Amino acid sequence: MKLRLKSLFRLHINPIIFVGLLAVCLSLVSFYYRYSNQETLLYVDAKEHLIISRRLFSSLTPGITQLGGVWLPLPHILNAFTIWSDTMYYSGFSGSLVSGVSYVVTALIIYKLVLLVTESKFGAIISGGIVLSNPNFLYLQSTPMTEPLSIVLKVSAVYLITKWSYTKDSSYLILGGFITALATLSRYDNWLLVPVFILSIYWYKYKISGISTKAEGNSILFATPAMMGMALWILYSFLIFNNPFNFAFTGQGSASWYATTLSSPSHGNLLTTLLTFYYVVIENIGLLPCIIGGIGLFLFLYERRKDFRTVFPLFLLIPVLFNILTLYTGQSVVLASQIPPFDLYNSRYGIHALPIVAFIAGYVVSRKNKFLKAVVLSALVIGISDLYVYKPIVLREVEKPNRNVLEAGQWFRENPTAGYVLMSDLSGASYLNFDAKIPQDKLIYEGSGEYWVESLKDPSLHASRIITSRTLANEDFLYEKFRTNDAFHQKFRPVFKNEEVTVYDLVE
Amino acid sequence: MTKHISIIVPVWNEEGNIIPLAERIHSAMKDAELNYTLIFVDDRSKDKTVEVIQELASKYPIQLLRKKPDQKRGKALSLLAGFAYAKTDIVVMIDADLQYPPEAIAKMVTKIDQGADVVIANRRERRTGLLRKWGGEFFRFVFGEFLHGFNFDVQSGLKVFRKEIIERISIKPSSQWMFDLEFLIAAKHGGYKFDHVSITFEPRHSGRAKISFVKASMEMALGALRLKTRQPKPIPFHPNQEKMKGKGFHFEGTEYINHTDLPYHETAFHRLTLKQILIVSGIFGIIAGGLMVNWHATLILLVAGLSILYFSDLLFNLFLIYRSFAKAPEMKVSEEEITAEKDNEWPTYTIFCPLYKEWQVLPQFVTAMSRMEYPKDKLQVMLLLEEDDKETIKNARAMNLPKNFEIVVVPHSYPKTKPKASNYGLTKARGEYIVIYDAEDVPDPLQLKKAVIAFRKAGPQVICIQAKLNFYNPHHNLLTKLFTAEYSLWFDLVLTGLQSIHAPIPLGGTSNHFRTDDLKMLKGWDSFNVTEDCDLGMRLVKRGFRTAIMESTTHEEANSDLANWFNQRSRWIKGYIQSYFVHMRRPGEFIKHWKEPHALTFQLVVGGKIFSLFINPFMWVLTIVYFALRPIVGEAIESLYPAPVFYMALFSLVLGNFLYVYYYMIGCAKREHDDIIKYVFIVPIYWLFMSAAAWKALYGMITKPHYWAKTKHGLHLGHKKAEKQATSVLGKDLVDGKIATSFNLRLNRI
Repeated sequence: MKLRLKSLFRLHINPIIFVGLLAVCLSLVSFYYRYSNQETLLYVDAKEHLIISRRLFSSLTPGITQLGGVWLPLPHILNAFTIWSDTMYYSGFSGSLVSGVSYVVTALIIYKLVLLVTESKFGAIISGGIVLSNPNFLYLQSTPMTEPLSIVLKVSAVYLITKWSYTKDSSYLILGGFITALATLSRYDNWLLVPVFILSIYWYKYKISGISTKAEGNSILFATPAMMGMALWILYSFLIFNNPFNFAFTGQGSASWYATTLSSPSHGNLLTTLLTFYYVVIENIGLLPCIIGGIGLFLFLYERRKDFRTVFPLFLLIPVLFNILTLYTGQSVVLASQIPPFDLYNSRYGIHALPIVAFIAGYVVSRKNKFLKAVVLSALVIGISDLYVYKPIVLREVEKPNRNVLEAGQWFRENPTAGYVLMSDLSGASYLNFDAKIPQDKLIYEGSGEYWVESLKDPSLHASRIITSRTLANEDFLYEKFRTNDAFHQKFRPVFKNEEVTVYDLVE
Repeated sequence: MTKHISIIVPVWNEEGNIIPLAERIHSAMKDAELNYTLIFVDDRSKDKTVEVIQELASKYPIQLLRKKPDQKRGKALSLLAGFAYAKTDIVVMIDADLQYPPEAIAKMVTKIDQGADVVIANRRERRTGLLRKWGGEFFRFVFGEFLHGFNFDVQSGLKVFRKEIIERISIKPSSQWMFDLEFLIAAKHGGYKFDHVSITFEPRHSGRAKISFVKASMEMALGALRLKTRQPKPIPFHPNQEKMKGKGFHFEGTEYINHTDLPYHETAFHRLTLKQILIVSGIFGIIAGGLMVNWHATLILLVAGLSILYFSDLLFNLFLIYRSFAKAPEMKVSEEEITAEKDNEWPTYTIFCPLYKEWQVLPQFVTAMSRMEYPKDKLQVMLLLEEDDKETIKNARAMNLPKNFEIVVVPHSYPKTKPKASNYGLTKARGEYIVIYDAEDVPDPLQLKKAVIAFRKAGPQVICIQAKLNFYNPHHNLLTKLFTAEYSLWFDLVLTGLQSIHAPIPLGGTSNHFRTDDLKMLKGWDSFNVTEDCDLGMRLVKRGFRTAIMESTTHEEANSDLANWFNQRSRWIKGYIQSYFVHMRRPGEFIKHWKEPHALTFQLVVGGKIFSLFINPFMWVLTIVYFALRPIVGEAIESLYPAPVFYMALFSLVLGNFLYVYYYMIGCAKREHDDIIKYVFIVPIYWLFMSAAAWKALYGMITKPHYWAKTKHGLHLGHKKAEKQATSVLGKDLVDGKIATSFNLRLNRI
């Protein structure tokens, strides 16, 4: 390996460029492979993200107010740069592009972080390699899912704060603040970064300067932009939904929603929580890399115990801790196949441990001990190879799509309508409008303002077709409202029906 | 010594009047013991006028000027030719027809001796026709007194005046009858004193009158009205006046001494040109018209325009901050570079310190200057004191000033501004380089040496090096904290960002270094501009030069008194308004090359800065009203924002305001004022005061454009907390109110 690295340098290729080029190649190949196998849009959420982005431009009421609800807006805003194109929208390219770039940049930032802390290019390349070679991350970067974006922003924020601690250059602190703000606008996991960063910046600055006003100044300098993202989101929720914490207490994702729709064995059970997360992490990253990460973590803490800067790279652990916390408190649900009910759900959350494992592994191999290097590298190769024996866990979880929705989508494409379609966004099959290729500006949903309000009073006012759905988890609002309404049934008749989806057309 | 005068007589077909006129003049001059030269200017007479004059020339001191065939005819031009020919300091103009008694000349010359500059013979007892008499009276009253404020006979053909008047003023009479009035108006604008004597207006001695009374009256009336509406121009000093008083001019009779020959169109002497007034009025007119025709569409356009402006300003500032960080363009001079220079190799340097009623800070200034690490024999420190500031002059003279200090008393004159004093100092500067410091300034002791090396490194295009400014008393009170944050942003981020793109830099009021020759080539400062620094920064860019920011700090006293701050700020904004309109007279001069869009950056840095101060309060009110009364007015306000405008405005409102606040924090962080960062959250209140100061500045611009609201300094002295901090920044020597002679330079280097 050393020989190869040397020959790499002899070719005058900067290792970071090598990592970058490798990342781009892997990203493109992975996307092409998954897209060819029609696997990029298997996640329902992937379609939902695309729909929201599309509505910024194409809707009966297009614009910024289409953002919101449970999901944070940054992924949708970034998708929006290309989502206006039908090809980019229906293929999912818009979202995959953001994920792909995130994947590439994550590898580069991890490389730089390890190089900064260890000054070892070898260690930096290995850590970048761990990120790049992870099959679960490779799958996610091919999809419009938001995890890659969240990870790159988190890793970037950690890198910038660490860089500040090494250089004392406040421009890194400022940039770190803004990146943290973006991170908080990508996934809620990252919200915990903010208080942790603020406190640690204060603590670190006070430790090295002994002046509380300096510590305070640096903390505020970071906190002001870092908190901006959360503040804006709360303000937005207040202005649009009249509830500043709308995202936390209503709709999908809230504890009450999970409590009524999905039973989580981890809720209130610490052991199950830890075991569940342990399993999803192992299945996402591999057992051997995780063992190296675990042992290496203690090594890192021990060897750098006198260096106050040690604390900053360890913040890569925060999203892992956040996920454990939300799992325990019932704010989220993760199911591992090794624990009853022996199913998979949100298994991708385990990927959040990848950056810290990569960093620690890079740290471990940066040591001069050749034997240790050889052992660790062998273990990493075996561990990562093992992940390729089966399909990635994040793909296994979603490889069985909802046939009822697929069937309804197929019927829709064959029987299009020129009129407006009324459908609830809170329906379990709401992504049907994506599969059915219903233009978003022909769709009446909760975000359609007056169209929606008027349609609830008299659906025939605007809509010529209505979709209702009922699943085990969800009976949608329209289904409830119209199923026993005689007036409705006089004007609309069902034209398609399966176990889940019913489609009504306006009687001419 | 007998006085010598020149008597100019325009003649045309006056053969019968020449001999008696010459005899009476000679007799009168002899009686009055006056030497004289009688200059006849012949307008191509067809009778024997010329022959008669030539005959008399052997008997009397007569000179004859004969107009050539290609010269225009007319009395006014004849007079001008005679004046130009005259060699004496006093000239007399008299008609040849003997209606005006030459005997009155002696009395009129006496009036000149007594201090008058122009003496007019008033035709009080006239033996002339009633119609002409009344007509003359009517003209005198309406077109002389009423329109132009002359209480004498403006059309009188006998006048005695100092020749320098005609040398200073430029007269281009529109008709031969307009010379008198035009001359008198110009003399009045030139600040000259008038007197008059009464004479008896006689009938013509010989020949016939050459004017048609009605036609001449009509021409004169129209001419008088035209002169009333004509924009008066400043009249530069006569070289003799300039020798005595310095460079200056008169305008509408008032004397201004600006000690520079900067062209008037490049000064803020006039507020707005006629063209600018028309443009501004036109813009307001179009808006008013638009509101009447379609108020909603007009408001949408207005809102769109403002949103684009805010958005552009936001992006521009973001770009500047980025450049400031990414390029770190400030010029740095290392100690090694300084020590490599031998003491005898440093060039001579002049330091200006304009002082006005602030002698309390003088010991601090003397100490600060004395500790400058520069060969004292090459350092000329000029204390520019105002003549009417007796107390400061007395105290300065009583101090035991070092030998290289000079007290220069600037003679009292208008305008009474710092740039005027600096221009005065410039005439006496001996240094190869020049810098201005305020009285309360404490510069980095190595700043002069750094500037010399920085000039050498920067190349010929950089003719001004601006040191950074910051404060030594940021913790005096909340105001000083916010002021410090503002200065940190301005000097450490914005100006360096501007430097990185070679944009025009509004100079700070002090610590701007120049090569003396370059500064003289730029014709110094505009004495009428109350932010002469901003103006000069723009002017030098128009001439194709640049300013560079240098990594060296001058510490100043942050204004700690709100009223004092308010006056200072309104002066600054007034000066920015002045500078904006001065440089918008010829905005094309900014455009040297398309790659350097100085005209655009000028709009954003100077124009946008002022404009936003006026508009901000309205936009804040609009925002507050929208959120507070959303159910009532929400829809109406939303209707003013079409989608693209809405997103720009939203971006500017949310991210823009956030960023503007945050920039202050970054400035504080860069300057290591970490302890002030938390106070930046209340900067929007500071902005409110700035907007209020802007409206006061606008009022000042209209009422007293050149008034220099003097900022009080030395408020930190006696304030324990401020003194303590100033001591920690500067060292005790500079705060204890005494002149120190030895310094711990290592400690005090900034």
